[in-house]
Amino acid sequence: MTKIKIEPIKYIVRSCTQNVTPVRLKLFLVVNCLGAILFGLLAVATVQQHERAVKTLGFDAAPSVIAARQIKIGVEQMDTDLVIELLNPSCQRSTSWAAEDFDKWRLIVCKQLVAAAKNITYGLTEQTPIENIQSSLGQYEMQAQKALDMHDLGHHMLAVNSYRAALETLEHQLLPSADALHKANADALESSYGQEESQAALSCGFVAVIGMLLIGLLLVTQVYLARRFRRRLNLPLLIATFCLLFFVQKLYSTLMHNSSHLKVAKEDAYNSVIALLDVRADSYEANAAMGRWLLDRLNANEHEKTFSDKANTVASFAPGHDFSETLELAKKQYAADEKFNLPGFSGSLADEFNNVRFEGEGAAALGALQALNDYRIADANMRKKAKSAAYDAALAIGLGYDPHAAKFSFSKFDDAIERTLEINQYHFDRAIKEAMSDLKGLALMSGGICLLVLFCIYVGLRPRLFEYVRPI
Amino acid sequence: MEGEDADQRQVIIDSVKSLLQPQKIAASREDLEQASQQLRTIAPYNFDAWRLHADLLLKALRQLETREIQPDPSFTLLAIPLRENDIRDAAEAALRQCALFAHSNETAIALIDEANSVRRPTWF
Repeated sequence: MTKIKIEPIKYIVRSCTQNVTPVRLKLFLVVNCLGAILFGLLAVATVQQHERAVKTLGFDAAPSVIAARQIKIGVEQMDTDLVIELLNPSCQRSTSWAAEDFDKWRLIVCKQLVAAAKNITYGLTEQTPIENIQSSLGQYEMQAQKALDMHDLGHHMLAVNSYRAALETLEHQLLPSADALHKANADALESSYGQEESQAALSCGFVAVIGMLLIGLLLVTQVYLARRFRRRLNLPLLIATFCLLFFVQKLYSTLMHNSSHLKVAKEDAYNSVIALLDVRADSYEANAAMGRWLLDRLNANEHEKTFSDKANTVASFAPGHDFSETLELAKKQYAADEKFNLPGFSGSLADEFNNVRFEGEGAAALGALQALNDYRIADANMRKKAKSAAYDAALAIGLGYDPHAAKFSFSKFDDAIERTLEINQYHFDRAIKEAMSDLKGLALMSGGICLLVLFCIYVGLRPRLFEYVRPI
Repeated sequence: MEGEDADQRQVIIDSVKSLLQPQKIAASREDLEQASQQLRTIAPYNFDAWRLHADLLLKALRQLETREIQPDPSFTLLAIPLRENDIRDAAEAALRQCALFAHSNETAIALIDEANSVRRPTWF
């Protein structure tokens, strides 16, 4: 058995090493064709790998990550609106804007939930949190309605008790599920993006090397034919060489271009979008906790702690640094058109400052920092008033829209964050679109070039091989 | 009659062969002309005859290359003007014809290689 297998191999190897023209020609034909096929397959695989990386980032994971964060922001805002409704005198509730806002955010949450459900890519890790959000959202709405009904009937304590039940659902079911949905997609995105990116870079280099080797092989064949047959140029082989040279250059530059678009989408835009969504989610949670602090005085300490924790997640300062010092430094760096470098500043807003890349993004981020500073001042004033028994004044600061009230600066802060988000979202969408258009038709072109090169190799070598065919 | 013809052809072939043998003094233009005239009397019909045609043309080609004889379009060898490129074309054709009558593949391959090595260089 061994002999049968080894003999043909030995024969082929021995034949290949003979310096006999037709044998050499056949060897060149086979090696060139195999090289062209290998190059074609590698090129198609590499293009597909890049397409997968773009698809993972732009279409599978990122929209779900964003939807998960929007759901969290939405339910937090619903809770804030509910608190505002409960803080309003019952006679004013039916005409309150908070009721309209509650409905508006409820619809946003529902839409984002549908968007997330339509884009389930990672199985149960995504499906289970979506189902949990769906069921707990219904429960939360019923409990919220019960609190409002009690409030309308003038039973303040019963309303607050019902609200606590709704808050329980929010904190223990809705928010953890939204976080789980976010984590499932964010983790999948980070791992698959990192993997796809390194594999794509590796295969891009590999396909370029194989392409250059094939060009070298075609040139060796050309030189062999010129010497052996005294024909200076073999036109089909020359066409194949130039086509391949052009295509390898185009493929490599396109894939490099695609990688840079992907880098812009992921590292410049997506990372900022995530940091900003975190800023928004945490600040909405802090803002909701601020309202709760006014409503549920019995658990005021707990709500104050939640506020402080969430506000610090957005922006916190190391000892020796504070808001005003950081803000001044940021303004100076912005005016000098320098990259932001704010020592002692951490949190999700700091992450955004460290990743400012696009035009207008720095100004919007600076606006957000300024508004957050105003908001924190208003919050401190409100707590001071409440602690000095001026509850109505505290309420006016907490719910009011005058320039010194918390809602005013929070709205300004939210607008600035939204502007920054829009800038990053625009660049993310554009980079993904450009990355997709880079790759459009490239796999087909790779296949076409591979077939053309194969045809040219055959047409180029066939007449020379036929010189050695003897008529029977 | 056929036997006589074959004998006659063999005599001519032997005579041309002896003319083309390497000698101390290179074959002159007249020697080549004589060999050519003798060869023209017989149609090339087998390996040896085509080989002889080719050898005559190759001899003329070497002498043209070494300037032992000068190109002369008015002088013909086997109806080929004595110019390097014409002689190369004719020698290549003769060697390819010879390969058709070769007894083995190895000989045929060697003859095609030889034809390619004497052909005039072209672009394509």
